[in-house]
Amino acid sequence: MNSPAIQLQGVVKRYKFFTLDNISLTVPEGEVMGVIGPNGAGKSTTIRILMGLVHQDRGEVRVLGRSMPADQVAAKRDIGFNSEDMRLYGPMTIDWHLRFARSIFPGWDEDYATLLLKRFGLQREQKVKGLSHGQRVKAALLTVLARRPKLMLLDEPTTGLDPVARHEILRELTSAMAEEGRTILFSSHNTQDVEQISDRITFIDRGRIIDSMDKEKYLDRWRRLRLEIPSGVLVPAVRGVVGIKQQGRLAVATSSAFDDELPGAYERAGVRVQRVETMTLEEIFVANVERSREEVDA
Amino acid sequence: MNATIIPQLIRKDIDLYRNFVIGGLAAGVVSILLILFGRGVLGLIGIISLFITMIVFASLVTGQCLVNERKHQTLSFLMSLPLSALQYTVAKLASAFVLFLVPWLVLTAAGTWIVMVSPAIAHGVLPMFLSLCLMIMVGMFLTCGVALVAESEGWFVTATVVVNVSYNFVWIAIVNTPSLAKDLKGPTPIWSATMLSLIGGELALMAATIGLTLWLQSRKRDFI
Repeated sequence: MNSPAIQLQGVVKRYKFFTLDNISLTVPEGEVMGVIGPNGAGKSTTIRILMGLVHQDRGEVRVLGRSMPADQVAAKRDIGFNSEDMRLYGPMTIDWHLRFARSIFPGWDEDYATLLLKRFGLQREQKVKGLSHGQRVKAALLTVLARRPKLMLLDEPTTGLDPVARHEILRELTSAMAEEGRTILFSSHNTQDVEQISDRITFIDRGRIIDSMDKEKYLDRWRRLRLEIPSGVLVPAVRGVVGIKQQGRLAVATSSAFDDELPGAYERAGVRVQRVETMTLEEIFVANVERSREEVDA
Repeated sequence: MNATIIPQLIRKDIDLYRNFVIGGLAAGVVSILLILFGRGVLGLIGIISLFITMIVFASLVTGQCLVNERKHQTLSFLMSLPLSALQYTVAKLASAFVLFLVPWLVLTAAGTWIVMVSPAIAHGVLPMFLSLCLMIMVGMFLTCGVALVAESEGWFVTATVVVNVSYNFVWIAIVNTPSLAKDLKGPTPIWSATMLSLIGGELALMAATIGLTLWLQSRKRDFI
């Protein structure tokens, strides 16, 4: 494993109606971590803590080897941050923003900025107030990408975009990942976007991390089993099954640790396994959230 | 403190709000022309509009430069830069000061010149004129402090109203202070101990406002 670009250890942040509860997360250098969670799950708070904009009440935060929020100024020289609610200055042109960013970041790549302008279909002399939402997001992302940051923290950057704009932005992020050592933490409630570019995925809900692992492991381990239950037979509790929904003689079992032995366990108990289905990341996410909420509520 | 990015932030605000400075100067020039060439009521209107220009400009600068950063959601962009909350505060106070200083200096200098050359105005009024100009700058810093610390447009508007109304009370207090009032109509400016105390108090209030704003901002745990 590479040295960590992000390390959160036991991080707690309390608000009146929300608590980010004991968050521990490590993102190795060069990895793309997708953070998926419903609205109000704590994704933005986590990213703001990583940026030093919100101070944790407890716990340790290190970003690119620097302690946050104490060393935020030095750390932010190598961080590219973009959030859904970020806006550029309406009366000014895109070129003005690029010149402003260039005056601050010595590593600014003007050739790359020009290339991105072309790819995103933007003109230097366009004023921000005349841009569509998608163009504004692209322009903001351009000011981040052309800095060539070591770490990119992206808080729902694709929210509210049309499919073409989303595709263009994800393509650029994928291309940015090709650069060695570049780490990306990407939050979204759109599982498709996260699935497309992430190496690892973390699910977060109600201020808690409920699961975190390699994307491929999620897709390998989670399965849905369609069961037929003969009369007089009870559905047995099977290890690795996190939820069962039964309606009459039919049931759907969701497994978070599927292996080839699992259908056999049902068959041995007299339950017929009709089908084993793979699950999309969105289905895995929803099942994970439901399981976590049931555990908390119990 | 890493100060390197602060000049860029001040330049950014000058770029963004230079039209307001030009507008403030233009309004000030009209006031000065009214004082110079207007007779009777027009001259009086010129004097009043000179102060109103400064007061309105102070509110505009604070509103545009500080409140709009949060209101227009450009603060996230700014805070993604290598910048701490304290450095942001220093940059914003400096930007507001620089933007306000240009018309303030021009109007204060022009007002001083008019007082000294106009045969219709007693030279003794100069210390009071300068103390009132300085008071408007103090008011600008007070509203800046409230806007930065409270992070609320409502509080900013309240502070602006309170500060602007308080100028009237200060004016009334000066006119009704015998040791100051007696010098107003004199042929030469007199820097009495009371007047120097007033100016000293204004400078102290300005320094305290800046210091308190920086201290409160440095203690903030959540910036966005």
